[in-house]
Amino acid sequence: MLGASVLLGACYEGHSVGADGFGTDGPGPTASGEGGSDDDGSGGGDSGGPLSACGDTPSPGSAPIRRLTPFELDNTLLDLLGDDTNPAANLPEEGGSGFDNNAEVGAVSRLVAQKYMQMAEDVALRATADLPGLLGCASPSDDACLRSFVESFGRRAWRRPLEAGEVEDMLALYDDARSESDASTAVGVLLQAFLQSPFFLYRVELAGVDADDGAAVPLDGYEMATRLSYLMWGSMPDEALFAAAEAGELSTAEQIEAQARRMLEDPRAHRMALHFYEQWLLYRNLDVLAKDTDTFPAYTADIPGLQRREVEALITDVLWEGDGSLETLLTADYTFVNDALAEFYGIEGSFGPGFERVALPGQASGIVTAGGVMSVFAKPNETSPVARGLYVREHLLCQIPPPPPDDVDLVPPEPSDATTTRERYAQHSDDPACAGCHSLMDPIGFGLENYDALGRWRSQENGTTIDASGFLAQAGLALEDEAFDGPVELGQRLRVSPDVRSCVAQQWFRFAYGRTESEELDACTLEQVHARFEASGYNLRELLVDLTQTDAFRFRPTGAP
Amino acid sequence: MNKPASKPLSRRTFLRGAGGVAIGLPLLDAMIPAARAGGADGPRKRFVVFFSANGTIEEAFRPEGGVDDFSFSRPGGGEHILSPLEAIRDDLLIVWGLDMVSRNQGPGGNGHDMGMGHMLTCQELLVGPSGIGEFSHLPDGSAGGISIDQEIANRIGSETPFRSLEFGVRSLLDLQRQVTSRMCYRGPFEALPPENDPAAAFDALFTDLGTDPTELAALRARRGSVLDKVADDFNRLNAKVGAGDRVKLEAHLDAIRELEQSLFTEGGPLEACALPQRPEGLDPNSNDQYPAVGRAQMDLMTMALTCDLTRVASIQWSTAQSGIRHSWLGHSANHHSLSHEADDDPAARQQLIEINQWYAEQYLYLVQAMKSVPEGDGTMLDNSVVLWVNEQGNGDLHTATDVPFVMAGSAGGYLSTGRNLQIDGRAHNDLFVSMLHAMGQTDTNTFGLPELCQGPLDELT
Repeated sequence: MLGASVLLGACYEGHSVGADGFGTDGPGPTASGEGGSDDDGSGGGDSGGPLSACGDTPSPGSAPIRRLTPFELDNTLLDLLGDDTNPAANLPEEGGSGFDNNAEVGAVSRLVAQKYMQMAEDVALRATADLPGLLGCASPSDDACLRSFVESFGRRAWRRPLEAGEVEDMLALYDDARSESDASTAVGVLLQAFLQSPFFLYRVELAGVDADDGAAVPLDGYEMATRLSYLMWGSMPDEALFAAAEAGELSTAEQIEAQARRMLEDPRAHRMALHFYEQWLLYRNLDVLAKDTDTFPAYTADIPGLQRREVEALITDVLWEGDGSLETLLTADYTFVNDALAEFYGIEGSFGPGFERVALPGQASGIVTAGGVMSVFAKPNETSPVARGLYVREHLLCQIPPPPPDDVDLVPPEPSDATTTRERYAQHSDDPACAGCHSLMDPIGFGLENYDALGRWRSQENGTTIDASGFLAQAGLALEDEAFDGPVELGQRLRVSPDVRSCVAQQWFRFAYGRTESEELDACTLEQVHARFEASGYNLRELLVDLTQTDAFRFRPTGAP
Repeated sequence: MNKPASKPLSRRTFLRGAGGVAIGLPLLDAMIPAARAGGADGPRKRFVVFFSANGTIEEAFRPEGGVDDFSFSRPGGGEHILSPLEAIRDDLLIVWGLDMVSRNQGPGGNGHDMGMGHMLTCQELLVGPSGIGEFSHLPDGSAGGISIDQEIANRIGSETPFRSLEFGVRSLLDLQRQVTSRMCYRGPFEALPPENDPAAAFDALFTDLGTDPTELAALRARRGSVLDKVADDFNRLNAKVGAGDRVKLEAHLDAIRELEQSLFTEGGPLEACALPQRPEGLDPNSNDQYPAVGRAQMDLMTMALTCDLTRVASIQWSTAQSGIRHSWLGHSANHHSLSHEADDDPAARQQLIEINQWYAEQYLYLVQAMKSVPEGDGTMLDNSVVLWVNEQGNGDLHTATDVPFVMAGSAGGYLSTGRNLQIDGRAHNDLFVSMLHAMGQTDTNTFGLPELCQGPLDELT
């Protein structure tokens, strides 16, 4: 089994998981090299592995067919037809491994097929309101006009030129519809057929499909244009990509890199990056929190939306205005607020309705302490050191602890005016049934106790000064660095953790390629990503380019996937 | 929130339209095949699953007394969770003692994940592509196979426009633990996402009723030709792709064929079938609107069953490990937190009882709605089973034993209701074998892991 995520094995008695590279006090597994551990083979920062996983021939791993996600459909229909109504809003969310685009799960049910139909009908109705504008010529009654529309729209909708027979079939469909209805309706039928087709809804890749020798093959130009556009933008290719595809200029690594760099400059890349971060850091859940407004009357209906904008402003700033480094993302000592959010946080100063940067030295540490993230990883009426510890373990370190055993009485402590949260959670470290695992979570969460359940800074709880000393074991740190005091020091520890770096690369692998990594088949790609990520000084902008330079991105396997 | 107003629809009402809105008869006709009025093959039977999460409190849930002479009271006094169900007591069949035995094997670890994945499938979970599974959350896991509702839908769902309908009430997908979020599966890794939005559910079920009959016929013809063309594309593509991709594309093509088929099914409207109002202004993501959204979903489900749009339906309230904060009951902690405090803290225990009582009231609402629909000499409920399930027994301890199951309706007389049963030593697989038999599917005596099955539970009949 592959284990890109590390199991914190045997952290309590009775559930020994077997060898997974975790000692009780040694460095994390990423430092242990390639000795068959459950680590993702990243080797993390230490690129000094004696053997390269990349051989003479490309090793792309698997490439399951990918259906456009609701996010991608909305973006695509915006770019394809200028439809800005979020037409895919009613489609169900699917996915797995942390991301909505995982191609390994999900199946289309009749209800979903009907929703695709409804979506296509609605989009077509809006698009045909201005028929000449849509067609780019006077009238569909003109054969040449209609034919040129089918060819040009088809190429953009299906992200490849239509075959001659496909054009004729579409023209015949139009004629049939036209015999029963007016021209707008008949063009609408055409659009519906384009938009419900698998060639639109799926990212079809057929390069090398006739080969059955299992060899890896490069993608054809249009397939590569599509891979690039959905990775960088979450949308369809633009005309420059189509032109490059047609000219055969998307075959070398250099050509692909040049396109990727061009695309990074487009605002669509910002939108796409945020779609990754809202899932990786789970601040998307701000939209569905159920905070107790009796306990927290200050938590008005606008707060979660403002906190989302805050963390998005922070990430966007680091990625596109700042140095783009993982280091800064984890340690930035500033955030962004407007007047309403500043008042909520108790931040002094004068702010307008728009978001402005505010320095919070000694308090803020990038996404580690972002108010929205702190709020998501808390309970409705109190903080949760467990949830925040799990946030760091699972999301930032990519380590999946075992669940509590069934036979343990799970009693989270009650909120109380008399004690601090930390004191109430002490039972976890006292009770031997709990201590093994919780020693890996709670002491991280204790270090974040300066943030209350809504993500507001506090120095006291119930009149007692917060003790924010914590412990970050098994994160690949030197022993003397495992103890820390407060959120800023936690951020500094995470900044130098090789496990965090591996984790970021792993999460981006999953998001970029729509699947989980295979330790065996993706060893080369993982090595390529990690080597480049390290070489860039762990630059998150560069990581996007890095992901286009791998075997997994540039090639696909033949034979049965 | 009140039930949305319904307009009883006679054929004439349809043709005339109501309130100036032309309501199309033909599509409703299309949604109601004639062969389904019951008759030769016996009554139409329906299977409905009602899920609520986080286990329960046995002493407050288990009726006092024997099989027939039970009461919703507690030996030591105190409120009983099922007390709201007194009004439908004669329709109930309450079963204690069944265990989710299949949960003792296979991957997974968290009691909520395990419980949810095993609850309707009765077989080992599957580890996902990342391989993370043993004694862990199951970030990529899936139930091991088909769920009982889908098994039944495969057998009795082909005559209706929808094989089955999955309703959700804030059943949000946890992208890292899908297994906690989903209960209905067509097969491994083929979870059916529930529809959480009542307005979207309405649109999917009843959207075309406002269309003029002539226009509607034309619309259906156009849809047919588009779907034909789309199916051609799928066939061309399927011929080229590898086996793994083909499985997904063929499932999609099957869905399109189902959709296309339902466009051309003809029939006549049923007596009690009525056009509900479109639910407006509800936010399916809102914690505080949870009761209103749930009520709207139950209304739509009832009407979909009444109109024979489907015979298999489910309503999933939240997810396993529900984090709903029952603010309308005055609670400040969420359901999951309370479920772990209930054994030690009297106040939390009281709140957990209130939550479960609230779910009993929702269950009552659904059952009474189905009971209000006349059918033959009785009601729609008489020909149905409404099964209330939970992913675990004791929520604090995450137990798989003594998981309570409550049923309402006799499935056309198969179940002997008005009883309170203790059935020991049987896996919950056998309950679902009984459900298959209750639905007239007597050709099998196993469901899920066959080695756990002994056949239907004779006690139920």
